Amino acid sequence: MIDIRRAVLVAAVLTPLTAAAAQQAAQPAKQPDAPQPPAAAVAVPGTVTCPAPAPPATLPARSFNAPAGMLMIPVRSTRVADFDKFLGYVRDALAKTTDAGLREQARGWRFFKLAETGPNGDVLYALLADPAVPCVDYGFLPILNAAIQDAKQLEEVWNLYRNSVTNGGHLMNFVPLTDSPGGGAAPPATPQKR
Amino acid sequence: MRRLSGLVVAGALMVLPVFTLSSHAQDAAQPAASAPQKTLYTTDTVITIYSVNPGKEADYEKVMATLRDALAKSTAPEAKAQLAGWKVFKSPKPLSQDGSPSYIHVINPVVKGADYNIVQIVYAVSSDDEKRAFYDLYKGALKGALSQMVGNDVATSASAPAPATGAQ
Repeated sequence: MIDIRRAVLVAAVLTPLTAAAAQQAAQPAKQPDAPQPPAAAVAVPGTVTCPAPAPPATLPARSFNAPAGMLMIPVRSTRVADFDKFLGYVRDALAKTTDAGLREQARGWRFFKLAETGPNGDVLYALLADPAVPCVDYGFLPILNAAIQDAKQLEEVWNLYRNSVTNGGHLMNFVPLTDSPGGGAAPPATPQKR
Repeated sequence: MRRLSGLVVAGALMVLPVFTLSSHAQDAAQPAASAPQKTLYTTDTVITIYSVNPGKEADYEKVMATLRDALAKSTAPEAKAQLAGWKVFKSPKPLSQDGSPSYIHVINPVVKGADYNIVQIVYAVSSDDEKRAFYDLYKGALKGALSQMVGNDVATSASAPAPATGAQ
């Protein structure tokens, strides 16, 4: 009786496995899905679609896709002096850079400290980029990295930023109205590769 | 950019409610016959975000064109400087919770003492009929102000460290 019950149990287990194996053998080996091109984004008038970078590169996280834009950066009220000091290093780096692309970016940069505070009493800074260079990185670290050779000093400067901001900021793209005050001053957005 | 756009909306939602409504933005809500209200700024820069009624973008842009023409025609000594420092942008994505189109005015540099009241600038160079037409156009297009940010250039701030020597 024991042998019969064991045989039934083994058969019950093996039957579906065998059937599945037979079914799999009958089908051609499934190939992994070929990568699909991303769905075409709907272009907003006045903006550009940044060209897809060649793998493994990725688009910079902090970039504009319009002729102008603004980055709002919330800074802890207790760290305003540190952030101002950090901006001093950024300005210094931009002033010294020989990189043509960075110099082009720097031409349109303005930093403002807003009179009103943000949530939690954060002090808000606005980086206005007008004109902005579309599709290039507006991150601070590459700028500082190129200007500050000493790794320890770079870390100290970067910590001024890291410890003063409450998040990475919020980026907005602006499309200039041509038929308005100041209209036509900014060139149309053109994707830049760097 | 999809991630960024999410951040933008999230950021706008986070930041915008903390600012007070601009009297500047309420220009269109003022009756045409009310006493002129000056809109003066004392900071280097003013950034105001306006919400426009959906489908009225063309009307709002016509208002902006009228404003530009009015500043260009104005004989006020400060008008040309105002015109040069006042830019209007459209946000590719709505910055308001309700999805209404958003326009951004960037005034930099501010002409201290100059009146930035849009209605009054246009009225100053308009006939009565033109005033009424402008008032109706503006009132129909403008939904309201989302936020106004005023600030000073950090580069000229006394708290900024001296470049180069201070940084090394």
